[in-house]
Amino acid sequence: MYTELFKLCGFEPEEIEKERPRIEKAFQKAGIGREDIERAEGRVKRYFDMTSLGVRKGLGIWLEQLIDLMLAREEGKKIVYPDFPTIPMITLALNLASEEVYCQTPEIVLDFVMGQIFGKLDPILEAAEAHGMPPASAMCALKQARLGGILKGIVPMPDLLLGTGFYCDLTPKVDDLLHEIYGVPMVIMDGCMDSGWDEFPEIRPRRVKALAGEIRRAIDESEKVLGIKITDEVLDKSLGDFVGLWTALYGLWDFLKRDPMPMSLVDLAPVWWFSTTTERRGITEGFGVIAALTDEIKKKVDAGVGVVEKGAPRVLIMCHQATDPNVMRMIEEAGLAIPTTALMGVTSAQATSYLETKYTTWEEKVANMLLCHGLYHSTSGLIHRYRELCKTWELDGVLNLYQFSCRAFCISPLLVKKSIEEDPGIPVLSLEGDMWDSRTYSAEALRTRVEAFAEMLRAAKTAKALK
Amino acid sequence: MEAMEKLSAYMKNRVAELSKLKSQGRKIIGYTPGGYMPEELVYACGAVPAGLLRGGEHEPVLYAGAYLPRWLDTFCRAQIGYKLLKDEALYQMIDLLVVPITDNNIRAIADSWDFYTDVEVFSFGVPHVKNDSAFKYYLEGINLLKEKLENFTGTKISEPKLREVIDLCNKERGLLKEISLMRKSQRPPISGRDFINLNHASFLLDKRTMIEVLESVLAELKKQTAPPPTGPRVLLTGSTLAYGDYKILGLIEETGASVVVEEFAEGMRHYWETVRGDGDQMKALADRYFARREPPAWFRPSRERLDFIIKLAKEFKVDGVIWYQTMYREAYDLESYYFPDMLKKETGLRMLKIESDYDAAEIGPFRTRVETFIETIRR
Repeated sequence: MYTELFKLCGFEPEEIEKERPRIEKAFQKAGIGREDIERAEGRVKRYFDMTSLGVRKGLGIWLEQLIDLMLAREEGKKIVYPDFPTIPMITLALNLASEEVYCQTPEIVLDFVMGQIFGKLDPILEAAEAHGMPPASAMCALKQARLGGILKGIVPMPDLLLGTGFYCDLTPKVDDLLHEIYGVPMVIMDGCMDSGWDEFPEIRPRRVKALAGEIRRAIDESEKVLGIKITDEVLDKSLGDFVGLWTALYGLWDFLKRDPMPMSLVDLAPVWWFSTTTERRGITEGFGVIAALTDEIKKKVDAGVGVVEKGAPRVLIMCHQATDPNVMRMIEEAGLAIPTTALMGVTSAQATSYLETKYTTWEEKVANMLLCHGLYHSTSGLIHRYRELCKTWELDGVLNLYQFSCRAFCISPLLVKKSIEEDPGIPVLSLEGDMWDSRTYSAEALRTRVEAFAEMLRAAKTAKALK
Repeated sequence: MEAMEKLSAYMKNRVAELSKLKSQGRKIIGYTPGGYMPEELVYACGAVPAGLLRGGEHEPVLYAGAYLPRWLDTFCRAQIGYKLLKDEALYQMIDLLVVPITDNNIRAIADSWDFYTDVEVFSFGVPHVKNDSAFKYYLEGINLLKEKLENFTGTKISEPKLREVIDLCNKERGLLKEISLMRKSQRPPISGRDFINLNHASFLLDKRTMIEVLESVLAELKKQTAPPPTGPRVLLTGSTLAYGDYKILGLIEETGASVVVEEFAEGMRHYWETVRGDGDQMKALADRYFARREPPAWFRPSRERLDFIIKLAKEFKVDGVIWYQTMYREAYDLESYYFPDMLKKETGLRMLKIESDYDAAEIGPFRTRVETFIETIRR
């Protein structure tokens, strides 16, 4: 019953045959039945470009990641759950250090597969809502997926929770809950967002050193709990692979500057999400998918094919919707091109420039790289990032569809709006949304405002052209 | 009590007094009342500290909606509301705002003041774990604060002066503790409301005046015979108990129950520990304000704080716990889920959770819930 879905997601018949026992075991555990599979087939056809082999292969990697995650315990792995925001280089290092270790951010896998592909995330969120993360309290649905997935037994209880506390306050508290109630060992990499308002892009060395110390502590603790050794060679390889992946990804992304925009952000979501949660499969197979997508995108550029009309206004959103691709499709249907997001980088050159630093140890380089982005630096750093993106990508507006249930992000929307409308002086629509949960903020709930904004941007663009 | 009347008079005059001090060139240093800003440093450079702990009113929260989304903590949103509404005189006097960054809600205060007002803001981070590197980070933070205050006021902080104000602040903490501990008695000589008033006043009044008031209160309490209790003894805990946010207190009192001890992250001065020793005074401050301070809910693991609440519940022989938090303070939401089981297991006590958005319409549902809870714990 699932053969067609796996074929759609880029599997060859012999690959499906080989994986059949694992697929069946995992689907049974997740309660995925015929109806769910039919829904998933409909969703991937509706939301993704199924003519693209790169897109199909990317979706396939996610299906495999769900299976790997669900079967990790019975396949004898030591399980580590890094949190989101992740430090992808650590995830990668743990995966590279030992074949016995399975390190992945379960909530991202659940959001992508149970959300985007199967449209079956709600019961997982509801499980968390019944256990400490109640509705109407603006609880992050990504964290609800982490907790709910474990409580429902869809994903196994981990051997180690590897959290981050340098940006989000809820992330470590959810791990704290799992630690208190179920006794799961926990390591939280702490940090304080205490940079001064006008400091960015300068980063106080004390912040870099403190975060680097926490990263080192996490590595040491992970070695102890898991009984493995993470060598310097492994660390270097993880950083090299990560930078390589991101450079390839940015190279692909640069094509979205073309007019008409050749590919939808929805279709790039599979590669974007596995580059932030660098599980073994994502990183090894990811390069191939990016290469396939790059070939396809070049052909589209040459043929002048686009997902929106040539000359369509170009807007920035905060981040890819993780569970509901329909939101980004709706924005495109309104006639807006979304070439990038606030969480993406600026250019392919920038990915490598982060490594040109005065810091020498692995953990300092990683800490510096994280803080360079702006988001984890300060609100003013984030505003700086928005400005840089608006200018570099020659955007016509910002559709700041912000994450209402994220305290860290909630500080900025009105500050971003005022700042961007002043410099570079383009319109900003601040829209409350939820990239992790579409129950309240569905595409249809947002459509009217997005359409009105698109109309305004088109009129402004026409007026500008006539001057 | 005569001393409480005196306190009330001092509080009424305080804004005028601060205004006078400001006109004489003294700097008014505002700070967020989470217990991580060593006031000693402000006093030692001749400036005047003023805790920004106003809360409980809906208008500033509504007004803040133009500057911050509603999904941030109510008390923290209210702070930019108070500043920009311009009704609260104290908020207009601040020369420098010091914000120890404890979580993203508090960061919203720093960022919104930085962005929307002309008040200079100085932030330093408070780590969320207790270990050597976290201690070092906090210590570096307060050293930066010291440097900032010295530059801002033009006064170098001398060791003898710092020692003198540490002693002064220790005295205040000691008196608050002594008064608070008297509430362990089966006949508490001071009401929860009076103690909270004293505690709130300690964020605003001149330190010597406050000590004089506390000494008078203590003397009066020692003389008087307290009436027998009329209802259950309650421990009030949560995220923030702001100056003016007395809705929950009023509802508890109306049932005849009494609040005999409080534990809050913000709005209540932490008086359990004093600054120790003669050695490095900055280290001693970090030791008191960071290492030995009972942590709020955004610390992890959460055990230290929850164990402390259980200890207070036992020592003050309470009949129930009321968890009062402001909206969207997620760390408190999470802990309030598993704490009742811990509490029940350790003490057999029950807990009621109340969340406020400083909305007048809350009072009806709150009353029903508080009355029901008090009835269930009444012996």
